[in-house]
Amino acid sequence: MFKTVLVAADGSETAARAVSTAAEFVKALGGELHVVNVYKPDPVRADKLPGEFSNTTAEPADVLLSDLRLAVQNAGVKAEYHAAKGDPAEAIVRVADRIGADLIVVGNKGMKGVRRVLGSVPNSVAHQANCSVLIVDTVPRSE
Amino acid sequence: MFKTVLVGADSSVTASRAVSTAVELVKVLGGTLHVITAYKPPDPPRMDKLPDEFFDRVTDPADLLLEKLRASISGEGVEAKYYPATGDPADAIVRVADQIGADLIVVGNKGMKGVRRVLGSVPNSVAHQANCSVLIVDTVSDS
Repeated sequence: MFKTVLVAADGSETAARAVSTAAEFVKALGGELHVVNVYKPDPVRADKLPGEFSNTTAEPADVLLSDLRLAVQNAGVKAEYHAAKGDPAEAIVRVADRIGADLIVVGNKGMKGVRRVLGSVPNSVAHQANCSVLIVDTVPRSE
Repeated sequence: MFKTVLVGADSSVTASRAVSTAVELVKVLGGTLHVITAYKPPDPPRMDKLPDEFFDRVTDPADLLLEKLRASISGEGVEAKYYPATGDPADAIVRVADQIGADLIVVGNKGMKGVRRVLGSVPNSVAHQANCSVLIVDTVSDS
């Protein structure tokens, strides 16, 4: 059904949930998983990093990617990783087009902020995508 | 992963593709399938516009659609529950999703009416209003 699944990730909780849903999806349906790590090329200030990074020279993007890799591995799925800069929604759709994705998976929180409404990234992706889009509900339902 | 899947259907091609995707998903992932036929009477039917074979029938088009869906879904070996709904399709879909506790809504990307490349109004509204994950099935690109 879906042979090439692209999931978008940044460092957010919503993205992490989208990634695990995508991994489960691919595991159940077959096909290949692609993870795109979208980041803004903002300079990182060392004093903003948690203590355990103070002795490392790791890029936050690399740290994120290795976390995601682990999560995907734990789900028992192999994935290809892509990095993309710039506007998240545009970058996601661009990568999807390049790899011929037939499904894009995104979290519904816009990958930033805690909002009940649909975030701007999933909204833009849904409008721009040339393939199916799964918007994963990542808003905790505590009510 | 998704235990209660609701798919929105009308008589359009986009909806029937959404339905087949939902059927396949439920087959692979398990869970229960719910079908809402958000039938919106387009305009009062005019007898002189109907083909001859309808003249001795009084069947409601919404019932016909439901019958057709029932036949094709049970032909796939999937059991489903059916909900006829009137009024605004997006509202109806989200309302039933909440009622049955759906964790995934499946809709076609064409808005269930009109032939547009952009995301239709029904999937757009559903994506914004849903309290669960939403799969917007691409029914445009490969047609």
